[in-house]
Amino acid sequence: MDIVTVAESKQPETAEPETPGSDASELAQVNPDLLVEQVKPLVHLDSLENLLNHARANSLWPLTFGLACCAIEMMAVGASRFDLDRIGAGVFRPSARQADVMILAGTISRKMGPVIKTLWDQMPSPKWAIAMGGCTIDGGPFKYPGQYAIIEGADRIIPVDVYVPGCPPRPEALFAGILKLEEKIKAGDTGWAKSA
Amino acid sequence: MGKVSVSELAQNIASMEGIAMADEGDIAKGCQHLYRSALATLRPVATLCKQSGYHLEHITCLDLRSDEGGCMRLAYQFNRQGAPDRHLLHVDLDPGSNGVTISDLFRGADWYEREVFDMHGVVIDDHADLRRLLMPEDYVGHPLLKDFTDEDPERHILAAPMPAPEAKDEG
Repeated sequence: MDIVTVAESKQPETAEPETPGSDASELAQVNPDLLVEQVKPLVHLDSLENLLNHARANSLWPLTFGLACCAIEMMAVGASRFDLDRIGAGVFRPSARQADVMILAGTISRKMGPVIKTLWDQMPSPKWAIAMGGCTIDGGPFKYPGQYAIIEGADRIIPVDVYVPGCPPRPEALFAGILKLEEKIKAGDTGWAKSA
Repeated sequence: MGKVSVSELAQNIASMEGIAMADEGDIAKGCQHLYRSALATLRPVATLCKQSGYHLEHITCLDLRSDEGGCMRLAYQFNRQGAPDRHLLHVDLDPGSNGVTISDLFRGADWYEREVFDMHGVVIDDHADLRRLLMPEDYVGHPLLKDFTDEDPERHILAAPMPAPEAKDEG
């Protein structure tokens, strides 16, 4: 089991365009020959998408954005000892307009929640989010019945692609999370472009 | 603003009207002097501390409404640079009554008084900008009251937990 949890997400569609109003498996029962024709289309632009996804995965620009103590580890990841630039993800952007990925590093207080939501909405698609540390997964040490201060998990306000556990996670763990996200992107996950 | 000796300020405060010195045994650890007073004496004491070169260390509130003779207790701490000489002043308010600001004397009191208002619901009279400090502006309730319950815990959650992407794609 990997240290990093990846959010359940759609698998890249196999080259199998669905006929409107009919199911592929249903078709297979009806006419196997037809299905064979469908999985091998004459023209598809998968390679262009693959190329784009490769570019996206290898130049993930995070938003300059720290919430609490996890942000200190995130800064360590960006600095020379661990060096995010090795995988092209060290270009922390000061504007949400230029960022691809939001690394939620730290406790999300209720007062901060709407601000994070605004920043997320300002980021252009395709975009991804990494929840770093226990607080952004489910509230972490600050979660108890009747608490009034925090939002219990980043996925209560924005969609999250990769969860990195730890309190805080070691820099290597955040690295693993970013590499997991790259795998997702290379596998064709265009993030939350449609749902944004 | 000349420096005064430890006993001088303590004597000055103790000699004021409306001040009750606590018993020696009552004095909390770390506080050299503990007084109880009515609200009317708060500003004279604060003025005296200011004139003696002391600074405000802390203001907080205790919800003692469930105790005998229930009250909301404001606690003010004053201290000075150099040899520690901490003065702790307890001001007991009837539940529902207002406090009074000392933020015109001590600038640092501004946010402490906002915090007391935010967390305990004690309105501070004459405060220039009495807004919530920690909780969201539209929050309802005062979390550090003993009888606090969050009326609507989901109030500030902007969306339900995000569903899995598969479900989203149908839209």
